[in-house]
Formats: sequence, structure tokens, C-alpha cells
Amino acid sequence: MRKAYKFIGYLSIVFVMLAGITAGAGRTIDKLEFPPMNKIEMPEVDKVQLDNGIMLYILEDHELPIVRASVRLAAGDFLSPPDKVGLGDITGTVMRTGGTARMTGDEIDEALEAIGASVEVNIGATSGRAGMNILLEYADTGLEILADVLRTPRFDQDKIDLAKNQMRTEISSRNDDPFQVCVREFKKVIYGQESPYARHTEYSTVNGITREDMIDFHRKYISPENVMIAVWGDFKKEEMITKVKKYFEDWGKGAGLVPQLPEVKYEFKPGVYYAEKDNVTQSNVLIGHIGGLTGDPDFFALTVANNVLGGSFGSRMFNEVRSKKGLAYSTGGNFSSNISYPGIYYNYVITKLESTVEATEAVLHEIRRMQTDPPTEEELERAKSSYLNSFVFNFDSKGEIINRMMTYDYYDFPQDFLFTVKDKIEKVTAEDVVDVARRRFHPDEMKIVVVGKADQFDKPLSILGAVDTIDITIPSGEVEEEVVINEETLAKGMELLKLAADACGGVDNYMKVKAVSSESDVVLVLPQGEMAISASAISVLPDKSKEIMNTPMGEIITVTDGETGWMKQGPNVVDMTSEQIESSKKELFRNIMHLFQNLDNPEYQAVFVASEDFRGSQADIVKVMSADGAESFKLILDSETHMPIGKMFFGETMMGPGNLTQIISDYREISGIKVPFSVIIEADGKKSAEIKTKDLKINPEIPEGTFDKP
Amino acid sequence: MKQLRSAFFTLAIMALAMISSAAAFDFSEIEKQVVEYKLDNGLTIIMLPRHDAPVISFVTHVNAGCTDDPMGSMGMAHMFEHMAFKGTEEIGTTDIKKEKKWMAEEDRIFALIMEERTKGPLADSARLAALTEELAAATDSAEQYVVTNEFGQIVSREGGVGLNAGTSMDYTQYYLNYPSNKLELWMAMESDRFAHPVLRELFNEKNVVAEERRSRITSSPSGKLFWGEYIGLAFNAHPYGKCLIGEMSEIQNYNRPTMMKQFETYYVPRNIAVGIVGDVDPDEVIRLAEKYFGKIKDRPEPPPLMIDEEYPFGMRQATIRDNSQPMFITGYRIPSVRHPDFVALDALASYLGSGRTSALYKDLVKEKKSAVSVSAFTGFPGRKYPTLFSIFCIPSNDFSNTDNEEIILAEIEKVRNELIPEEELAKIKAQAKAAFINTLGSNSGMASQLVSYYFYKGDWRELFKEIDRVNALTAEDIKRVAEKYLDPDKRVVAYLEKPVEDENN
Repeated sequence: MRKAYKFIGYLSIVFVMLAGITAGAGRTIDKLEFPPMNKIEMPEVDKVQLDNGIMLYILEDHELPIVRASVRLAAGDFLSPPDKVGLGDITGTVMRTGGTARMTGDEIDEALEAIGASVEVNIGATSGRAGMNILLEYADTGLEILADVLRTPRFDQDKIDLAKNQMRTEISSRNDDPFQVCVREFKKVIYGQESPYARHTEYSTVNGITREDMIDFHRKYISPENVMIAVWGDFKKEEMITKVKKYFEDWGKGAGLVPQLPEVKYEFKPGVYYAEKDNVTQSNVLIGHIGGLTGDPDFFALTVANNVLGGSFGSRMFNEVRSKKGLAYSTGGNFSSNISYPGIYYNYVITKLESTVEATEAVLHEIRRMQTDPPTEEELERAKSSYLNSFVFNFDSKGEIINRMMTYDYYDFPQDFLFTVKDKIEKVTAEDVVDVARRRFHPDEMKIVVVGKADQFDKPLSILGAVDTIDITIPSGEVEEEVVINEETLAKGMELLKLAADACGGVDNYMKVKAVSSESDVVLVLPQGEMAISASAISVLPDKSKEIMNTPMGEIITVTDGETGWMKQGPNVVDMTSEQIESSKKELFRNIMHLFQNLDNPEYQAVFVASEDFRGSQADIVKVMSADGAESFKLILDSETHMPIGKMFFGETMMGPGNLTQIISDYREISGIKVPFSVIIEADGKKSAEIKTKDLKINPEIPEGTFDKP
Repeated sequence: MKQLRSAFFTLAIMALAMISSAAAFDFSEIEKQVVEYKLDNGLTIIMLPRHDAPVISFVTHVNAGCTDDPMGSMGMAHMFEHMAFKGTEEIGTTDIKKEKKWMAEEDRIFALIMEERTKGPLADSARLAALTEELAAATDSAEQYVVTNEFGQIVSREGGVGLNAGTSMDYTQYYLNYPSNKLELWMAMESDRFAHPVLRELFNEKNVVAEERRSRITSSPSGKLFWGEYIGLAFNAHPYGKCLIGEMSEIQNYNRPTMMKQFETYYVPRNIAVGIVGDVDPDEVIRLAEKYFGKIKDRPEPPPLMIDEEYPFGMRQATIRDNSQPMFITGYRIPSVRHPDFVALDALASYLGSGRTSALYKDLVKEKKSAVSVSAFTGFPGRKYPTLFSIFCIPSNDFSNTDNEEIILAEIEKVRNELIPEEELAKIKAQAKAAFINTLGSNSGMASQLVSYYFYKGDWRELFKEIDRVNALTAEDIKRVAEKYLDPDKRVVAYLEKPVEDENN
């Protein structure tokens, strides 16, 4: 009995060991065999041309009582002039939100909401689209609004302002994600800084866009010769054609065809580009060159070759760079293509700073190996199936299919293209892969873009080639205005500052201030309404400060000592970025108390600008500047009392950089100096915040540990 | 001019809406294609074949949510949802035997920790510290066998998109879409994770959930208001009054033996339905479901929760003092989704406070400018059991909670005494219809609705009857439910107010 038991035990050990050896291959899911993909059925789409030339694509689909429309617009942001990048984009947005000849934007919102419908317009870099989704019985309402939005937009100014604010907000956060930074800069390296395929908005280009520009853009490019319309849903074809004709056929021709997309001129040449970004522990690296066209005869072999090399799980980069060398958490690549212009070819690796160069070299090694080592049968199989697996999601909605048809027709691209893909991908051989890699990959002429912190790299980047540095600082878009600087204006400026300091209690009293604490009520004016929060602050001069804001989302604490800083929201504590510290230094520069303590400091210069009216009071304007001219703000002093009643400067608003005005009042005397208890802040002429101080103490006791990081 | 145009528009909408009730679409064609099949172990499969594109949406609906969590371990349903992505005995590990050995070691140490912790203030802190260190070492040992996120990696390699899940008071749903030739892969992986859960990386994941609680409840004023005060006031006996994510101390107590016991009671085939919509052959689905899900052992249906709490005897209120934007939520007890009045209550919520054209929004936000936001809704915190009709309001700067509360109460008295305008009723019907039809158009939306209705209403066919019920509503129905349920004397209200000013300051 005992013997038998032991025997069984022994057997099971053998079994377990065997299972261990074949782990992976023994799993249920690894034994599964999948049937071939079901055939993709293409719906029969009819095409009708309207009298004004518009091509109408029409498809009956009776499953649900809905009507949808998609209008392809040939207009894209590529048509925007270089100093107004973003014009096409914002024109699309405001066509929908800014009202039409018959209705305001809000009325359109209400009308659509009442029937559970939607109409949207979006203009991208190379083309645009307007869409409609509506219940069958309201098809007329929907088509009418869609036609109005395309034909008679009226671009109400308040909606333009809102859209511009949204664009500025996007600009202000564009450096947050290092991978996004890397892709953006890589595109500029490949296509060129000014290329419509790579360029992007700046504060200056957005600020420069006017309502007239938008009206002009609309008039020139949104016209029958530049649109294609598709309508699909639960209707009888003939009836829908009549309806579409009713709303679109009397749309008179415009200014002609939209110009063709510009050509891409690319020269194969190596290059290494470095963009510094702090607050990162990893480098993001993109390695590649120009990609190809979708219609390229090499498209199929390139797709397979790319998947062998960098197509996610099981690819060579995944196995060698990620798994075996353990160099990266994320690595892969893409040979991207477009119908109308060449895509980009890139391989990426996200690796810890200390292995930046090693990981880049490992990727380059794998690219080279593609030109010599043909893929194994298994590699080839995985490469093909991973493409074909996700391929089907190209066809999972009628909208996608019909939109693609319009795009293909617009560029005279063969409609059956995608149906040839499956066969051609399957026919690609190991030899084809090596051949195409030799011809189309240029490992010795790669552009390498690195976003990270060079002082922590394993080796200098120059090992990879001569390094160009890219500055990703977001240009503020500030417009410098002329100020006359001479002995006279400088002297008068300083004199006015001294008068101001005297009026506020005198420099001697200011010099006694070592610390300040305050409690305030703050009202923030947000796009969705006003929000009241309370704030308290403690500062130890010159540059230590702690601010606590109580918001509906919780408490936000910000602490800085001028060189470093951190913020705490809920359980999360993050270090301030260098931009945030920079911004708190600027704030200190503009601090009046700090200014009055530094009137003898040669770092501060004051220039008299003008005497003029400020909010109903006669005022002297003094521009306060740092000696190097890098920092400046305008201090507005009451001509009679010499008290500061305002400040004007260029700085961060909630919607990105803009012109800020502070209106300062309600002075109260504390410890011999006069302190304003009311500050209203205006951003680009609109009230953005109001601070009412409830209590302020000079030289309070500072509790121990006030500035300690949790 | 602007006034005129608006008036014209309201008329136009009215006219359009009138047509809508006349022309009814026949949904029975879709309804007829739905196939329901119950496996021997009680697991239900509801399929809707739709061959437009070779893709399938899958939704696994487990009819267990926070209301089924055991006392002392609230939030465990949510924790289990997190664990379901950690893999199976075959996926996510390099050596399941060794990994399990270390997991058992974790469990042994954690039992000792719990034993010590229950002593409360008398606990031996040195012993606790030593045990905690031991636990961390065991966790490290277990995790050396873990293949991080392998489950998700396989899904994406094989062409799956939209891998996700959600836990509510009433249920837990798991979502995924695949190309249709991966039907068997989904069957194999999905059945495996619910047949043999391994609860991998439990002790680290508890920290993730604890962080989630901190950010969603503790450091969020509205989180505290909704989950901390409001539902707690509204329910004395029913678990609808508990916090979905559990108390912090409860999260700390989660352990494998309790979770497995809970799993074995509630994740039983009779309590699970899968919705499969897309390019499928029902016979093939049934064959594969028998093969994979059929292996799961039949277990008894979980015990029913039978607490029919009496309606409040009076008004209940709570106030949080917090230095943040004031806001409040008020509510009235209403029956569960199974009650015939629920449809009218939903319509009433839509009339009062859904979207930018609703009655309260127009009155408070647009006209009086007394609030920046106001909304009315049913179904919070759940709808399987008697629940709440809620109105949530954020006052604007120069107005208080009570200013707005007065206006809202007046508006509610109005709907209890007067009929709502016909064009408003027409709007509600049009919106409900559009929302319903758009759901029908989406494979994943449809899969989710079919299984939800199966458990909520006992039959997926109820989904198709819903729109008829909305269309049958009259203004009288809405007035009647407002009168019946929105009783001002049996109301619950939770305020978030600024701290009281200290006079001496």
C-alpha cells in the first residue's frame, strides 16, 4: 500500500517536471486553432451626382430607424497660412458652435437635444468631416441644420473666443506626455518644421486668427466642389436623394477646387536630435525615416517586415530589447503610410534614462539584422496574423466603410484595395521580407529623436552621431511693445516707485517685514460658471511660500522655496516642474512687497511709460524690468495718491499665456504698511478671479515644519 | 427677433415630435433574432447574431455587486473585478505551483496579522510590524513568478479591443470585443478566469484600491457627500447605504479565504449571463459554451437579499462642513426598476433635470443664474432594489444651497400639482427613443443591455417593451408619480457647506 502510494507520488513529480519544461506550449489557449476570418461583406453603395457637382453616396440600411450622414470636406488645416496655423481647425469648430443664418449656436444645441440628435464638424490637418446622427422621422431637421452649418455659418464672436481658449489650453499641455513630444518633434524632423504634415499651433498663430479669417476660409474652401456627401440609414433611396437635393443642390459653386496637398521632399541623411524634459525617469526614443504610400507595391512586404521587427508581442524588438535585454517596458515600430502623402517609419523604445543609448543601439541592431536574417516560419506567421487580426476592425461599421469609400474616390485610389490586402499579405515570403528590408530600411541613415535628461544617460548621445538640440519650450506669444528707455524715463520711473513706497508706509517699514500670512476668499470664473474657494498662504520673504486652496475636488497645497517645490492634491505629492518654479519666480518678481524691499537692488529697473486713465483714475504707468530685461511688468500708480492701483503683465491664465491685469484696492494699514485687501484679476480683458483677503498678518509665527514635504 | 425665432423653433419641435408618436418602428424583427440558451449548470447565454462585420462583442454579467458583499468586507465585489484581470492558472505565471505555494504563505501570515489586529488597541505593535515584513517578503517571492498583465497582452495580440469591466451596487460586468474567429479564445479565457480564479497579486492590488478610495471618496467633496452622507442617510438597513468601494479598514481586511468564499457563493453559473452580439452562429456558440463554461460546477443560486426597508418616517438631513464649493443632493425613496412606476419616474427625472433644456436647468442655471449645475436622476445608488430619485445642485457664487433648494422644492410642488407641457412629454419620448435606438446600433451596448435586462427584469425581452412603455406615458402619469413619491416630508438631503465663521477670529 505504502509502496504504491510512493510510486504514484513519484509519477506525479515526473509529470509536474515535464509540464514545467513544456510550459507555454501545454496551455489550453496555445492549443487552440482558429477558423479563418469570416468574409467581410461590403454593402452596395449608390452614387448620384447633384447638379452642382456634389457626389452623393447613398446606402439603405433598414436595421434601425436612424439616418446618418457624413460629409467629406477637402479643406484641411494645411490650407492655413503659416502665421495662422489652426485656422482650418477652429473654422470647423465654430461652423458648428457659432450659429447659422437662421439660428444661434445655442438654439441649434437645444433643437438637437430635444430630439436626441447630433451634428458635428471637424477639420483636421489634411481633410475635414461633418457628421449627423438622427432618428428617421427628424431627418429633415437634421439635414437642414447640417446644410445650414456648412453653407451659412455666422461665426458668433463669443463662440470664437471659447474655441480659441480651448486651443490655447491644448497648447499649454502639449509637453505633458513625453511620448507625444517625441512623436511631434520626430514628425518635424522628417517632414520639416513648416510642413503642414508636422507643424502645429502656437499661441501666436491662434491669437492671430480673426473672425474675418474664418469667414474667408469658409468662403474659399467649403463649397460644393470640395465636398462629398454620404447618407445611410432607414429610408428609400429615391426619397432621400430628393431630400438631399432639396438642402444641398442650390448651393452655388465657390472659389474652385481646394489646392492639392503639398509634396514631401525627403533626403535620407542620419541625424540625432535631443529634447530635454525634466520630471522624467525614462527616455522616449524614436528612430526612423520617411515611410511610404499606401498604394506602394512594397506595402504588403513592408507591413510584414515591420511586424516581424516591431509589431508588439513576440516581435524581434519585443523579444530582444524588452524581454531578453530587459531594456525597456515598451518598444515597437510602425511603417506608416497614407494614400495622399508618405507616412513616417519609426521604431520607438521607452527605457530608463540610464540605458538610453544602449537601448537605442539595441533597436538599431535589430533593424540591421532584418536585412540579413530572414524571419523564421513562426515569426512570419505571427507577423501576418497580428496584422490580419486587427484588420477586421476596419469594417465594423457602415460609417467607416462609407467614409473610406469617399476618401478613396477623392484620391482616385482603387476601391478594392483592402480586399487585395489579405491575399497579398499571406503571399509574402521570408525572402520578400529580407529584400524589402534591404531596399526600404536605411539603418545607417536614421533620424533619432530622444526626449529625456542627458545628464543621466548611460553614454553620451554623440556616440550615435552629431547631436542637434531641440528646444521644446512653448513660445509665449507675447507681443513686445515699444517703451522709450533713456536716462529721463529711468529716473522718473524710479522716482515714482519711491513715491509709491512712501505712500504705502515707507521703505523702512517694508524692510521690517520678514513673513506674511493671509486668509482669503477666492472666486474663480470658469467657463462653466463661478467657483468659490478659500485659500490661505504663508510666505517667508524673500521666496519661501505655502499656499493651501480648498476646492470642490479637494485640498491643493503648493509649496516652493524659489528653487524647488511640490504640490499635494489628495494623496498625491508631485514635484513642481521647472516651468512651474519658473512661474513662481516670475510671480515673486511682480510682488509689490518684494519690489519695495528691493528698490536699491540694481536687479530692478523702472521706466516711466505714460500717464493715462486706468479704470476711471488718472494713473502713471511704470514698467518694472529685471536688469537683463527677461522679466517685466507694468505697475499702475494713482497719479494723486501714488498708491499702486493695478498691474499688467503677460503670464499664465487658465487658458494658457495671455495678458493679465490686476485691479488692486481696499488698502488697510497693518504694522505700518498699507496692504490691499481686494484684487480682481482679468485675463485678456475678462474677469477671471477675485481675491478678497479676510485676514493678513505681518511677521506671524511660522509653525515648525510648515514647508516640510509630506 | 431672437424671441420670435425661439418660439418658432419650439413649435417646430412640437410638430415633429407629434409625428414621432404616430410612426412607430417595428423592433420585433431584431427581437426575433435573439437566442437564449441555458447550460445545465444554469449559466445563461443571450445571443444576437448580426453579420454586418466579422466582429463580436462580449459582456459577462455577474449578478453580484456591492449589495452582496459580506459585512466587514464591503467593496469586495469591486476588488474581485480588479483581480479578474490578473490572469488564470495558465496565464500570467511562469510556475503556478510555486506561485501558489507563496500565495498560501501570504495567506498564513495574513491570518496571523488579522488575529493580532482584532485586538484593537491591545495589539502587539512589534509583532504586527514583524508579520507585515514577513508578508512583504512572501509577496515578493510570489511575484517573481508573475508575468505582468499577460492576460491583457494576449487579448491585444489576438486582435481583442475594449477589454474592461465595471462594478456597481447591483452587478459586475466584463467587456471585450474580438474578431469573430476568436470566439473560442474568448470562451477559453473568460471561462477559465471565472472557473479557477487565482487572486494573484492580491496584497499589492489592495494598495491600488486603497488609492482609488482616497481619490474618489476621501479627497473628493462630492464623493464624501454622495457616498459618505447621502446614501447612508437614505438607507438604514439595506446595503444601498454602504460605500461601494468599502471602508479603508475593510479594504485592509480583504483576504483570499473570505474572497474565495464570496466567489463560490456569488460567482455561480446560475448568477451569470453572457451577452454575445455580432458575427456568431448560435449553434457554434452553444457548442463552445458547453465545452468551456459547461465545465464550471453547478452550485446553488446565491441567497436572495430580502430587506424591504420601510420608507423614511420623516425628513433626514446631514451637513458636511468643508472648505470647498457648496453643493447639495436631495432625494426621495422610489421603488425598484421592476415596479411599473419606474418608467414614469425616469421620465420625470428627465423632464426636471437631464440636459441643458430641462426645466430645472432652464430655471436655475439659465434664468435665475442661482446655480452652475443642476441635475435629476434615478438609479443611484442602484436600481435592483428600492432606490432614490435624486436632485443634485451646485449653487452659483451669490446664492446658497438653501436658496436653490427652495426653488427646486417649488418646482417639485409644481409637477405634483400641474401637468407638464405636452411638448416636454414629446421631447422626453423622442430622447428616450433616440437613446434606445443608438444602443441597438452598438454591438457592445446591445450585449450589455440584454444581460442587464435579463437579471433586472427577469427577461431580456423587457428591453424591447421599454420603449412602448415610454411612448404610452401621459402627463397625468408623471404628475401621479410626482405626487406619490416626491413627498416633501419624507425627503433626504445632504448639504456641503462652508465652515461656520469663527466669531473670535
